[in-house]
Amino acid sequence: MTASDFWGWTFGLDMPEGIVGDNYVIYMWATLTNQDDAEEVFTIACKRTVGDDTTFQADYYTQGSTTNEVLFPDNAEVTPDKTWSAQAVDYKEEDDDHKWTATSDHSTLVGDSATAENKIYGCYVAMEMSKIGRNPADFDKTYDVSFGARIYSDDAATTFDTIPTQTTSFFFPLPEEYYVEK
Amino acid sequence: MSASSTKVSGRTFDQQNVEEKAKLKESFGTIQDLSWYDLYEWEEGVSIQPCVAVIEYDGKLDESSDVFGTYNITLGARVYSNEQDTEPKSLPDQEFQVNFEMYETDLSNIYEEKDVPEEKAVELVYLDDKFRYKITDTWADFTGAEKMFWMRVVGGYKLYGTSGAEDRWFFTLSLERPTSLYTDGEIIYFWLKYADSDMTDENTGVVGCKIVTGDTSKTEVNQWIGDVNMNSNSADVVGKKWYKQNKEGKMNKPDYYARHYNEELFSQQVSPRSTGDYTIQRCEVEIVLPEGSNPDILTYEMQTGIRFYADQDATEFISTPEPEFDWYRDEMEFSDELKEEPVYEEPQFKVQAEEAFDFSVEDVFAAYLDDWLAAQAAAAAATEAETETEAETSGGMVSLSGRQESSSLSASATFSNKQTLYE
Repeated sequence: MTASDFWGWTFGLDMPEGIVGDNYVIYMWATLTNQDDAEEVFTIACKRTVGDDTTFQADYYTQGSTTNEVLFPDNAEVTPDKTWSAQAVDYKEEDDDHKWTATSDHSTLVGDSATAENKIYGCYVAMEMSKIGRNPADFDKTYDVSFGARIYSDDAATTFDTIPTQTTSFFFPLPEEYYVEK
Repeated sequence: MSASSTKVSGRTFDQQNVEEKAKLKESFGTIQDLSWYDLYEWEEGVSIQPCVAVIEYDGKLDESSDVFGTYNITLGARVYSNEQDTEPKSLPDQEFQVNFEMYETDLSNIYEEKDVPEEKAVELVYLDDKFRYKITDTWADFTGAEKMFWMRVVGGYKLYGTSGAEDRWFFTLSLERPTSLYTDGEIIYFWLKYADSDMTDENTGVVGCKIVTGDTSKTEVNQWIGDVNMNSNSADVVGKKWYKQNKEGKMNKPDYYARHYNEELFSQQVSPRSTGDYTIQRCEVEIVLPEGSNPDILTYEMQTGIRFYADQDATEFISTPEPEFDWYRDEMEFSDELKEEPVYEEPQFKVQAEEAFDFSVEDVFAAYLDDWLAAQAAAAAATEAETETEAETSGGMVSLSGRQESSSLSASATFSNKQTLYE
């Protein structure tokens, strides 16, 4: 009962290994919009460098219906002259102000790429979902998702290579109870 | 002093029982704070006019003070139409007994369950909502370096597992804003509105908390029952002093209370935030949940806000935005299981979404591709040469093509999200 559940996200970039240098920054993001409430918009993002498979950073942005595209690659909050850490700062929550953490503890890890010479660059974030006080209104929602990634040459770079933005949607249900075999 | 007394009957208010009337300097004083004397509505059609007498003692009282004891009290009131009136309207006298004892100086003995062992007490946070706003949207003339401020509502149970201990529900309302915006004496008024879907009086109301910056002893809790409009644009709020807002539905004695003697909780705290000089002001209100009083399962619509008054007499105020959110509450009681350390083993995964989007390596990595292909070819050639050398040495056959063609390249961006469940 006291063990929380988690909402774990695995981001991955399956691309030719070594095509960019080890210090390059990969920033992967997903902007979610509640289909039933256009004002409920937020972005989950994960940052890692190419040469480090174990260090990740979780970012979280709070947005609204008029600011739902602030993480999009051509948005003025992202370009020009902005480093990866300076993008959309007015919408970015500080670490102590949100519940997302950078961890692979609650996710399945990316494996090897199916493409020769490729590697999957994984990045992992998760949000704790306490069982105690769980509000059913926080679940059973369908989210529209815009998903994209950027690659910066280092932390100081203000230009980036864009992985095209894609859209999809998914249903986020009330978590089931842990199944115990009897 | 009764109306039928010959020393009262037929006399004006200032001539009643002058025979036994103490001299002014020997009489009780009165509270000079005018806010105590406001007429207020007790319930529909019934208003109350307070009057407060004060007995002043030199030094501190102790249990040996002769003022303590059991008093038989007769309470009456007369209404004179003017200062010359000798036939006032008299309310019936009321008689009762009061046992006046040495008061409790340690307020924690009144408000806290102090005899519950640690292993039988648990505090469960049930909701925790934080709201972030631009400072200049509320304090337009702010010129500091900080950009944002935060409001936060935390609520939860305090549950006890010993006989006689009463469970509590608490709300902690907090404000985190630049230190430079705090001014001693300013009144910070937190309010929190809650309403269940049926808007029942039992589960609909407002709890308010007044903080005087720099003086925790002046903390005051207000509570309203029913659907009350606490918005800053409400006619019952605009142009009114903080203690005169929304008189309708206001409880004379709130069920919620504040443990304002807890300095750690109520005094300003330096924020650990690294992005500016911030200070946090909290107010925690708490209510005792008598056994069996917990609702089964309720979903509340909530709203919160904070108003800032320059002082006690101010009728103008600054208000934060007033966000709405919801709160889910079900019945809970103490169990030893709640004290157990969580164990994270054998997760069960429930996948919500798994997506892979192919993209063109040639388009995205055009600037790097030639160098990478050349490096790949060089590496393959080196491998091929090494293998040929080995083959020649061993006399074997070799057939290798190590060159990567750009047309064979592929890449994809993927994400998956899943719920990871633990027992």
